[in-house]
Amino acid sequence: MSEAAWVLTLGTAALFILGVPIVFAIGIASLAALILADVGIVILSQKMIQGSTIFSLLAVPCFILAGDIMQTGGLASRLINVARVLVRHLTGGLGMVTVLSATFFAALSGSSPATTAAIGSIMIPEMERRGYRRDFSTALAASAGPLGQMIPPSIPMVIWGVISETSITALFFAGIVPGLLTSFGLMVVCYWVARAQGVLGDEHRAGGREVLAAIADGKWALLTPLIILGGIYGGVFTPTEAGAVAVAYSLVIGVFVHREMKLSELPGILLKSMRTTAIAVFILTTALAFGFLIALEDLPAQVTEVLFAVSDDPVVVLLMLNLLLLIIGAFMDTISAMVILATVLIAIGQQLGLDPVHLGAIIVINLAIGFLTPPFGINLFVGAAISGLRVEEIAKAIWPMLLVEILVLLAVTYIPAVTLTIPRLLE
Amino acid sequence: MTRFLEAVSHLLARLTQWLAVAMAAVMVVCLLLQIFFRYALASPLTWTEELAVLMFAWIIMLMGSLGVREDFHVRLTLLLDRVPESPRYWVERMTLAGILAFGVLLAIAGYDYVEGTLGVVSAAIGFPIEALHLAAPVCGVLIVLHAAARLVAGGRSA
Repeated sequence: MSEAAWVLTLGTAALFILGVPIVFAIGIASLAALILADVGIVILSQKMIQGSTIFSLLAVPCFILAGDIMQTGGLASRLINVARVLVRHLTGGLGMVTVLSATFFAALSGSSPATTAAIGSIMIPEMERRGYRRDFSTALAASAGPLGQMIPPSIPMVIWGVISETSITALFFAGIVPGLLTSFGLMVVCYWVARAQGVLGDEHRAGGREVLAAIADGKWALLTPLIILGGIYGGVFTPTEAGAVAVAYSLVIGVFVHREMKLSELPGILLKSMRTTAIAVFILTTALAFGFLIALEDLPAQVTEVLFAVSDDPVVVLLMLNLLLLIIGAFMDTISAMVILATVLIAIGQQLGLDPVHLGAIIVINLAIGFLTPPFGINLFVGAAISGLRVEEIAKAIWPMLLVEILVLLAVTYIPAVTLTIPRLLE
Repeated sequence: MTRFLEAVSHLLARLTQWLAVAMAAVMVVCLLLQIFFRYALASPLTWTEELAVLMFAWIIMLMGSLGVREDFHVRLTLLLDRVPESPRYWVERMTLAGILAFGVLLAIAGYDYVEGTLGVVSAAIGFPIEALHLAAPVCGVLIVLHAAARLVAGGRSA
């Protein structure tokens, strides 16, 4: 390997471990490599401008903003009420309410920690009041978060679509079945844990009138996914425009229909959303320069060669790929990991002959699990902030849910139909 | 000097926040106008997409620099949390110095890029391309100022 290649790999890793923010770790390493390889540092600014002018990326601020408005505008609490009347009477019912309402919320929001925060802040205290252990309740809310990035709209799917030049619409629809499988698996865990802990569903089944009332109250929130996905599927608008529509829609509902948000709160929400957006996209812009250099140094081909030298059996290669991503995901957030590894991952996918949509789904779902694994599982920290527990306590209670999500990951990896059926039907 | 730098950093941060909010609003309105004109009026607008993207690029570069002052960029503190106060303090300062150097080089690289593309105009609206390309050197300069303010103040984040 050349000096530049060592700087890009070991240099970036060393800076990252020392606590340099990821965006500057890859930025500094890229600058050093540009100088060493004598390419010219102007490439950095060119790539950063290029990265921040990709139209499809505008879906990211839009969906983040829409999610933030929905949280303020009373949409989350209404979705919880709908979930409640549907499953509360079952064994483990209240846990299932948490999972089901996170599933609903995931269809409005594209972010994992946002889903945990929106649902967990309401459901963790309530589950605890009804006799669930606090560590289980918090772990459950944390593990329902990844639904936010599996079920469309999904911010990581937008980013993967942009960097791998894959259809964002197809990636969105590829996440539906894995999301529903995860949701179902988590509800099974709720049933099993409730029986083991002796917390049975003591609430009576909701009558038809109560169910209708909850649905009527939550109808505007429930309509949102239909508008977003229906609009994209029907070709009415692009995923980016769907994001803008979601912003306008949630604003109108929150301010004028539910009357739970004031227009004067909007600048604060805008600022918060743009901060979240910048965290993701600023990394992506420097990662474009990084990826350019990685490709220039021919590293993707070298990594692929090493990987396939160990085994050329696709089953084994996919297993190694997943293990590698799980380890990286435990230390890094989804988007950083994705953009840094993009060129290598795409090369491996091509070598295996994987459908790009299938590869994208494996990556996004794998890295979603990283939100639950210490030391860097962001949802564990969100859960800790809500419940007052320590991260270690939540991590100890999370293993049944983690097992469910790893099983879904294996299904996604080895059964392409899980992800590809819906996108192909809609083509 | 410390106070002066902090005052400059603070002022620029407020300006950045204000601009980002305004630009985000313009960006979303552009996208909505685009859909409205295409479907309701059947006469697609040509300038909305370009203006929305221009706003987006500035939001990313401006807010990206603000992340230096507010320390909101994603980082791993696993190792740092386990080292004693005094080495930790030095690692933090080295990190800030690295970020500052990145800012300087980005400002230079960005300036070169602006200079190299002078005279080009945007495809749809026809604005001079500097309006977009200046975002990179401006981001570099802001990073330098915010990092310097934190460095002289002893490494604390705002």
